[in-house]
Amino acid sequence: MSQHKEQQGFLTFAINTPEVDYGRLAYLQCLNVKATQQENRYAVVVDEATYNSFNNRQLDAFDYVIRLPGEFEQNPFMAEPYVFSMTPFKETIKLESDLLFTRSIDHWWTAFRLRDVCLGNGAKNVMDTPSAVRKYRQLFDANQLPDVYTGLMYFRYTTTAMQFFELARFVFQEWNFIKTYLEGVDLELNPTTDVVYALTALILGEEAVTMPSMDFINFVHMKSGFNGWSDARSWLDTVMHERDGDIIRINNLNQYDPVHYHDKTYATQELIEYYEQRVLGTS
Amino acid sequence: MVFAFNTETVDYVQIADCTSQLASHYLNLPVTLITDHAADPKFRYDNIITIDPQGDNFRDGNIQWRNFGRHYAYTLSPYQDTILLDCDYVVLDSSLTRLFDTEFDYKLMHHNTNYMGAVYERMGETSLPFIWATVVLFRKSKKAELLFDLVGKIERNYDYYRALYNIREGNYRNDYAFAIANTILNGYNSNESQGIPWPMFTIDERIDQLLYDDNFLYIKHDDDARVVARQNTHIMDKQYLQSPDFEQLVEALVESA
Repeated sequence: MSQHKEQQGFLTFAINTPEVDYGRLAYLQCLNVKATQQENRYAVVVDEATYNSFNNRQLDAFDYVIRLPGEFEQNPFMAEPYVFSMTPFKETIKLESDLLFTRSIDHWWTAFRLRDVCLGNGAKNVMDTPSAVRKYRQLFDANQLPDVYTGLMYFRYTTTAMQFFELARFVFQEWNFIKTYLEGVDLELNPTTDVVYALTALILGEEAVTMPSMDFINFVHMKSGFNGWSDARSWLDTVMHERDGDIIRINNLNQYDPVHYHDKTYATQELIEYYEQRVLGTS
Repeated sequence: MVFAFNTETVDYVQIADCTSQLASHYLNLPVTLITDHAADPKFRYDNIITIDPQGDNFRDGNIQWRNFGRHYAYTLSPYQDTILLDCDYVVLDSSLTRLFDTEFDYKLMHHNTNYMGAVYERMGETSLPFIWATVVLFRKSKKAELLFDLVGKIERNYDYYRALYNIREGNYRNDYAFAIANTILNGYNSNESQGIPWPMFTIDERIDQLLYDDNFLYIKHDDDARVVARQNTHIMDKQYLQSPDFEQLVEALVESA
């Protein structure tokens, strides 16, 4: 029986940590997707602990709740490349759970279909311009890796996509060997998905898995330094921000691209209740 | 002329009291306050005109602000030449008065800058550029009257104009209403060359302390400090504008000159 239940939809991983309730972030994102997108089917991949943390309302909101195979319980970051075989959709936009849409991106699906896999290329600041800040990307620059972001990426069920994720799995598995060839890498840390997918893109061909010319496909990265603000504090303590419906206005600028809010405290109960009211009709 | 209506969270009249002191001081002009009956202004305004509250806007679910009724400025203004200011606009020089040496019916602020450079924005992804209603200069003239009448019409029929101009937000914004009215009045042209010929400077970020000397403003927040050329400044941080630090700054500025 096919793993694919539907043509297209969104998917995120939500693995709770002692510090962050990622399941809650995924729930907010699910409601946000349902409120802003016409194509709004939503799947979440969770471990057992996160699954057990969901209440019935949360479980009902998700279209698919996919349990992470037990082999990844100890190292859930290793599960990312297995998303290809876990997604219930033939075409998937994979999101990081701390990202919200401010408008419909339904028209992006058409652009995404120009590729089998499409990784984000660069990230924007609140001014709607590509961020020139490189301090978080020194590993990429030192090793001339493609400047990819996996906070919002697309893939579909094709041979090329399968090759991409097989290769990414290989990079994860052989990281201890591969990292010795990289400059500026912290040998103690696990690789980020961005680094692994950048290496995969480099091997497979950057042109095959990115679309830099489609510069509207992007998100606003709210890590403070990306926007030229001090990293000593969150953007929430630095700038003025407000919401008007789905629109997030930061420094008096409407954000039309998805906002990767990064500071998890942005996902307030009030915001969740706002979307519950909109989507579920109650809070 | 300044509009200020208190909300449950922000004492806009207190802010207007402070910024009007500066406007009066640097522009050497009388100031008229438009507010509601509940207000208790402390600054000695030239005129205080009370009107009924015109309704509320809400953002973030429950943060309230009142920006309706700006179009009454034309009929309520007791002056032939008027500078209409938002109460969070801090006047630090006399540049605005110099514009009255030129011919115009009204002048709008077409551009805005902040630390990061020019802030360019449209009313929606596929809409027209908007203007900043933070500062509006107008003379009693037929065209200026038309502008304000049109702003009133847009306010009353905002849902229609919002759809027509592809505006996403539900809340009414004077910036948009003035931009739409200006565009219509000028034959679907923004007529930017007749606008205020410099961009507005805005501090969007939070402020702990604002210092100044003859040439510069020093803006401090936490471990961050920025230095910008001294100029009229639009300050978004309403908490700072209600702080003792801002009151002291105003006193020092008024006494220093």
